Amino acid sequence: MNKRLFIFPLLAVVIIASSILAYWYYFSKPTEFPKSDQLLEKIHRVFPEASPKVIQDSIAIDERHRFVPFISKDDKYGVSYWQWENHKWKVVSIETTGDVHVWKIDNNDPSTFYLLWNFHPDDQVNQLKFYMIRDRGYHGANRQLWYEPRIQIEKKVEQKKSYGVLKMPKEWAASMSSFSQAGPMEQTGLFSNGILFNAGMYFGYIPYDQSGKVARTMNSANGSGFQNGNFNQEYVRQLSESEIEKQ
Amino acid sequence: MNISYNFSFNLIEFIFELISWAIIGLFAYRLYRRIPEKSKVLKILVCTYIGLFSFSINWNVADTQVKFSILPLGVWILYLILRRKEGRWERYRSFAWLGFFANYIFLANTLLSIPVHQFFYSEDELSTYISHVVDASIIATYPSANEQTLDKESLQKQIHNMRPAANHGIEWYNEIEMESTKKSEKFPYQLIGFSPKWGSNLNAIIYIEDDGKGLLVSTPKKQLYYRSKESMLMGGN
Repeated sequence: MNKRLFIFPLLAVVIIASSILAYWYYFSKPTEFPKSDQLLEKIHRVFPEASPKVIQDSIAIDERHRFVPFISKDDKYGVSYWQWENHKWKVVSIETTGDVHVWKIDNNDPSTFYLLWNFHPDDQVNQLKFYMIRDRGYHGANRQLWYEPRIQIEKKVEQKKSYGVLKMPKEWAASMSSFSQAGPMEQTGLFSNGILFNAGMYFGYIPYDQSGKVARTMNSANGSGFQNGNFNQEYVRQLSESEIEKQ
Repeated sequence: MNISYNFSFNLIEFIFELISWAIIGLFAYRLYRRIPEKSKVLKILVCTYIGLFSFSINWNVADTQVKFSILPLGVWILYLILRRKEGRWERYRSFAWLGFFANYIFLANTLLSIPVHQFFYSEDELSTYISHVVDASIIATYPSANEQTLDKESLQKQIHNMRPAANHGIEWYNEIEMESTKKSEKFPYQLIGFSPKWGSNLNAIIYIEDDGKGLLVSTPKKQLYYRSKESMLMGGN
């Protein structure tokens, strides 16, 4: 038999089969999200220190990302982040406290950023104020002067449950995007991990209790964490009221 | 070259880069015709390309970084590799050096492209930075901002009339920072959704003054401050 007659169809079959497999592995639609007992078991298996007891909720961020707050055996309020990755639901981060973090689903697109938290009820957090801030300043280089207006955008969120998810407000995302397009003054990496921007933007929050006083988040302060996989996250600092410019 | 996250690109730079490659191609062709023994074209292209590698110093000309090549690293690498076989280095030598001198062709074209770019896209004209305002809007980036919306018509009208005014950044900063209890921001709005003149690659961050009559245009190269007679904001209180 002619060798070519045999090799080419075989090659075609291999190419088609491998692309179907690759599609299935990387791009296929997520299956149903695991049930609470499966989630508990999985969290316990990858990060036993979390000792999860109760799954509070499972919040779909988008089709492929889920936020699962939980309560541990020793009454800690923790968080876990789940991602549909390589054809399975994978827990990419587990933390035993619920301090605010930003989850950057797509590091280059601020409209896919989410603020996530889970405060212990004893901390009595009733309202949260979130901020995106860039400090006022000026600088000069090459006989040019730049004035940087202060950016301070606030978003108030009433706290009904211990946990919450806030999609990056449109204005915040729009402002951030303009910075990534026009670039900071020094043209270096824009969205480096760890620092949101070297344009100097950062996120912060202030928690308030029922009487409108700043809440002390003692029970949500210290904890440990586990991270695994392809995942961008940034810590959101608790600000003091003196860091906020008042009107 | 800069990596930009949107689709605007530098048209002039692109054209001059094409011209550079065309000139290099022309030289390569003329050298190729002169050599008696014909080698593979691909090998010649690879040699020319490796010849481009060089140790260089960067310096700023009119806010554009240019590369001044000093040491022909690529030529040395090729020499070390090719000399092992008799006559091989001699055959490819001229292409390696063409690669090195190509750096100067790029340099010359960059230097030429700067005034051409400035001719087509004046860096002092507001219309270079704000060309399309159909989807433009404002966001309040500071609590002192009032509930106002962008007056697109007014902005459109002002674009061609506004002239740069002096940037008093240090005074602005000091004045605001001096206030201890109640601070305000001179530029509490940001303009979004606009785009620069096509092909200019001059993306700017634009802030709007609290009275709606001033624009602060920030680019990586410079910052310009424009004043108008009429407000570009409307509504609110």
